Amino acid sequence: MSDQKAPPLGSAMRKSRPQKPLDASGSEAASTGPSNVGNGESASGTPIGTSPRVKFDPSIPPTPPTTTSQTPPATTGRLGTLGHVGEGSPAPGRLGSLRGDKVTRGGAAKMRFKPTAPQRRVKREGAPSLLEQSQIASASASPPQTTETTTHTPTPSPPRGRGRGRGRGMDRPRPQEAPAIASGPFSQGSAKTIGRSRGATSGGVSSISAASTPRSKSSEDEDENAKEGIIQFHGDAWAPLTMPRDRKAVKKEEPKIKQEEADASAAEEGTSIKTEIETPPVRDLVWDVQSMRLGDRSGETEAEQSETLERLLFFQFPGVLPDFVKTADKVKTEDDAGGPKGKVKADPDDAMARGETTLSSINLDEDVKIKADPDAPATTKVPTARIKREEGDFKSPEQIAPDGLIGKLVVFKSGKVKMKFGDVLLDVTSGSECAFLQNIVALDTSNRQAFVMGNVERRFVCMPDVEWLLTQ
Amino acid sequence: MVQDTSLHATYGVDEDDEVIAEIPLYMSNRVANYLHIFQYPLRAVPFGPDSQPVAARIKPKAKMVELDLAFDTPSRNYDKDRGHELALGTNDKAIRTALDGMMDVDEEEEHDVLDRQTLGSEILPGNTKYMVGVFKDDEIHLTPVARIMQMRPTLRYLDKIDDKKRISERRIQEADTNEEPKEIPTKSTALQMSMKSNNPDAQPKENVYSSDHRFAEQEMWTKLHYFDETTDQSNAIFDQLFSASKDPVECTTTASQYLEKLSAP
Repeated sequence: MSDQKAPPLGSAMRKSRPQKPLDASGSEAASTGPSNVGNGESASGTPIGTSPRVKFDPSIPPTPPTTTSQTPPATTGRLGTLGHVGEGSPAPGRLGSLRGDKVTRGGAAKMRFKPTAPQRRVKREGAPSLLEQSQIASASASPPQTTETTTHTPTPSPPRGRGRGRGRGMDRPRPQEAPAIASGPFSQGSAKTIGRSRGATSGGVSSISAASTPRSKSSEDEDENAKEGIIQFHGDAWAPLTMPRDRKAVKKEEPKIKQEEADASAAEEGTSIKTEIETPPVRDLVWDVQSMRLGDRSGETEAEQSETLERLLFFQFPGVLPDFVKTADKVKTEDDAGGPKGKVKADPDDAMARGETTLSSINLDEDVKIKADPDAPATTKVPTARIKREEGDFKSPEQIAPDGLIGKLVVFKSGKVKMKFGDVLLDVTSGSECAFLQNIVALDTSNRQAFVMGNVERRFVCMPDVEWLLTQ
Repeated sequence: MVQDTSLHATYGVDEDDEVIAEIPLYMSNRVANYLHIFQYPLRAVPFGPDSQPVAARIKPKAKMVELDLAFDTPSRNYDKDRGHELALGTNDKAIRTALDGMMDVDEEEEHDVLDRQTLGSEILPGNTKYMVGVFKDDEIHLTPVARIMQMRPTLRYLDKIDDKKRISERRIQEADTNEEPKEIPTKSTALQMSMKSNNPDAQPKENVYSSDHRFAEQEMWTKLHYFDETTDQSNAIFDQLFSASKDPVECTTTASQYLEKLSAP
């Protein structure tokens, strides 16, 4: 009951006024009169915290109906309740206002402000946002890195996006409270400042451009920064910092470089990264071969060619794809679906793999209708809260295949490239050249977040190799 | 049955061909429902550190996204006069006409220039499956793409300027016509309108397009938090593009079954 709580803000305002025991709201004037005798609460002995009795006294302007100890709020806003609070009457022995403390001079009901904790935007229960899932997953996968990054929190460091002063680079994202997004050139302050502060700690900022775009360094500062792999545009404090393209390499280099803090140098980083690249020699060759047939790589410098560790590719597949089933579950899937229809059951791996897709409909049906799948709650072992479709969520396409190894891409000396999924062979050719920018973005509509993964480097089109399929 | 493991039998290539590389393909579904391709047909260069979008908005139900890109207004190549003219499209001030008399121009107004360009999204209809593959360490991890959006400049400021012009013209007209006595029609005639259709029995067709469009217009833009590719958050999600497991997944469709699938309905 509202008046039995610690006196809220509203009552603080009333401290200046004499308090009387709560014997009747709005009728303090009559409290000393004979009409209160029957209440059992005298004007003198009643502690303030007791609940008032409702007393209808026609001599007093009508008080609002909620005069019981329960105070249903007249309006429950985010900020508090404007309630007709039947709380605190003047102290014993003091006279209250004639009209009562619930009524203003004009006769209107006085509204008391009772702040309530602001309601956070309601999130679905048990449905962490995409970002949260990812952060949990990556934190659990690589604890040492996480601890490192937390110690770096005060240090602004471009590859981590921390300390940008925009409240965004925190471990627990709070989308509704995140301030402006702009990551302009000023976001990290002077480039020189950043370079210096990063010197001893996250020296792992080896920018890709360090190798490919050597710049002449005249000042000592720039030399120092160059050692750490930071490229500085000559003389311009506000110039943008170049960002490393390979995230994983940077992270992996971190522990190594921390140990060798003292002699961290661009050369060292350069070579250590290069060794990572060079270990699988076939990959470069693959790209060369593919490029000969599928694209022109001559525009890239040698340095760029050897630097990239991750490439984002865009594949166009035929609308009809073969069915995939996790080998472990193959036995289980022969239920009413039967035949080639694969029902993807939730086994521990699957659940982990798919548990993070909050909206995936688990059935692999033949018809390509996208609908709110009524079977979804039955077939999936993912907590049902995640299957709820929230407004604004994109309808999820059916799953093509469960997580795992589904096939292989084979590159031939002749330049042909094929994809093999079990018995099915697809031809891979180069997609149309897109001169314009294409970004890969993970868009979480329910949480209003967009994450850019990077740019599409190459497009490929995969078509069923019908000639070969016909010979089978 | 002795399995013919020749290259020709397995891959349909000439026997004298050689396999240079075999790259395993993994499927990853963790980001699948969120993955979009944003195409910028009118933009050739990637977003750099100083050209990232400064603001983003989304209409979740209508599946529309808007990005604001900042113009380099101090640059020599930016036409300040034109920018000033176009700035009318960014605020809600009415165009000053002769009716308003001469007022001092606000300090702010002088510096008001069109400083941002808004790109609006359009969903590309796709009849086929698209996937994004991350190529790393000799592995390709595929994640299905939910949809492709093309971002094109929305020239709303031009529309707004047109609206303002119309309003100000109307004001001027009304000011002129107010000087003449208006004739109030004393008679009111009832107008009847009926829609004749060729086939009176047919159900009135619901204009699906217009209702969708209407809902989209009515929905409010909500702020979208945009994390570019250099941020931690994006990196965390990038890691999810890799498959959760390396267990083999079997393809249960044989070649002939697949052909059937392709050729039916």
